[in-house]
Amino acid sequence: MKNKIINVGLIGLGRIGKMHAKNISQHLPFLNLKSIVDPVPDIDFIQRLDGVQACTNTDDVFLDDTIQAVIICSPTPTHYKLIKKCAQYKKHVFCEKPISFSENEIKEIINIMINEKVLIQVGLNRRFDQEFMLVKNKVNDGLVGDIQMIHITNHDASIPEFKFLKSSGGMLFDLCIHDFDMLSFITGEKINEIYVNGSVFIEPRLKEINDIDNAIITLELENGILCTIDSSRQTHYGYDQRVEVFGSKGMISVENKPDNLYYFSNQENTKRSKIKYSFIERYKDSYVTEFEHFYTCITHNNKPIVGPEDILSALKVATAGEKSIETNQPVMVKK
Amino acid sequence: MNNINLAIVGFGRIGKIHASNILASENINLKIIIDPILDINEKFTSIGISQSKEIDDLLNLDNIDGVIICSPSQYHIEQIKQISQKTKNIFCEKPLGLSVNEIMDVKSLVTVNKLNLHVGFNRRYDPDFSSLKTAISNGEIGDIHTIKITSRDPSPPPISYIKNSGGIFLDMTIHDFDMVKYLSGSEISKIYVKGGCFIDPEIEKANDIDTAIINMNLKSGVLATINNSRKAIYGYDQRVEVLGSKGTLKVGNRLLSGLQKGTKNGFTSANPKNFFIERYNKSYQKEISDFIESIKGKIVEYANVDDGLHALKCGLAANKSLLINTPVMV
Repeated sequence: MKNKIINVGLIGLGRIGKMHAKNISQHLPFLNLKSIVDPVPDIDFIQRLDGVQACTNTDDVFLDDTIQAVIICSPTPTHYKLIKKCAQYKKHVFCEKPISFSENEIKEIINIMINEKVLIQVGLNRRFDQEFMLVKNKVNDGLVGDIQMIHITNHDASIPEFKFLKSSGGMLFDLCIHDFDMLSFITGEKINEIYVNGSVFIEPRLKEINDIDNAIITLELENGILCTIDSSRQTHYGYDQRVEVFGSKGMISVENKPDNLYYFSNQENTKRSKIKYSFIERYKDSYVTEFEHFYTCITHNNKPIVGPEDILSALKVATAGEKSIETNQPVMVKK
Repeated sequence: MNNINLAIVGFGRIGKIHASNILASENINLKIIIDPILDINEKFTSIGISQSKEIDDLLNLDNIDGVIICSPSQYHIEQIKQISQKTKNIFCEKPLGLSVNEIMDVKSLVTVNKLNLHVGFNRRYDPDFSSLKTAISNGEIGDIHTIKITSRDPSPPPISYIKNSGGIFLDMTIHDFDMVKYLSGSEISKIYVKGGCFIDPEIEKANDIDTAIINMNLKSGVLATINNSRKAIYGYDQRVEVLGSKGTLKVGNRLLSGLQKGTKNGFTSANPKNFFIERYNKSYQKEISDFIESIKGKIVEYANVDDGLHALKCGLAANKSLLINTPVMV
């Protein structure tokens, strides 16, 4: 049977938008990227994709009846309205996280999508990383017995520009939201309580906007599992992404991926490469796999495994985390 | 210089390790071993080591240069007081004491009598951790930002031991609290603890926990975390990571063997060394040889009464934090 090709439009051609666009044209033959919308579209980039239309008006996507799905990669504050428009025009949505910083908006989106019978998948890409999927499967198989502790390390290689940091929603909403979701993904449990011990070590201007660049976070899941997330905006040695699940029968660890496998040893020491430097490199495969899933969901009318409900849960944790920073106390996560 | 004469008080597991390290040292005599439930060992008698159930037999000797205290924790303070009348050189196992007041007493004793009191935070003497400390001090990763310690035992001690141990924070985590201070050069100022009983309900009945995550602030501003378990099924898991402004430093586990195997089923390598005696073998030698050097008058770095006090205060703050589920100032 020949696979059906689905036409998609993409809104927002920033770093992540460009990555998705390239992946679709190179690795996802069942998706046809028809139009890209950006207020100042990078024409050179779009021309290289071959056959993709460059637009500046989102209506060019919404009013195009041949487009069945929209990929939203524009800045977070624009997501809510764009998703609503997609629903109105009966287009399935793939939206980058965190879709919105407002719980009410997310709840509204959940309802609209149900009513309008359109699918929405959220870009919590780490759920599609091969290693983390393996962790989840092995945990489900009972390999580690009863889980007692989970430890996540999530460090950026280098701190983003201050301009980005200011609009990112803060470290908990921007960086750690992936980790909150990872804890729920691995265990199937919600997070019950959070304590954030944060500090500014790298970018002093973050103090002015009440943000942090380093944190050690203690969390308790609803079934009592104890967790830590340690997170930093800058390591220099690469994008440090590790997970350790510790249980009654053993421990599962996911280590970092090296840049290359070249070693050099001499009388002084043994040198090896840095680790993958950015999310685009480390999670390369997951960005393809998440769209394969999106495609399958559309063609089979399945609910994507990751949607606004998951973002809502993670957002509640981040909100409680922010309160924890403010009050310097552990905070219960809103149910 | 004449031979140095040492005594050991408390001849349990750790006392025996110290004894064997002393016996392996040149020009050092182990004169007497004191333990209230001691079985006289003919082997020791035959090489001139006296053995007694009474500490008075030690106090009545007049040529003792240093004493190593390895008795159960609740006897430490009283024995330090008694022995300090005999010699200035005392090595005491951790925890120094179980209350702040009693350690304050010892602290004034140290000041007034100029005691050379070493505390048995042996991990400071582990070659890997002392290299880590040196690398930090050399500024190899710039200013340090966070410290992360994983410290898990292979199996819980007997319930009878747990009941008298002072709890997981005073017994087990106390080493990790000291490691944070040792590596950072800063005291811990605030502690938040989450803990639970996942391994053995008997531990809960004994009013203790077996699993804990500790989140800390240091006076220097550094953030730190420790995670503890009484039972890691794969062995004694002892790792430290430090993240700084220029990079990271890590100490991993020492493995039982360097052997690796690869077959159609994948690769396997050995688990961590079984327990503290194997893993920290070298540290026990070094802490005693440093103690002996200090008796000879050499200046050595060691964990002192302030370090013992700091670690105890952290343990007590952790107990309190667990109870009230809020961060506690040390």
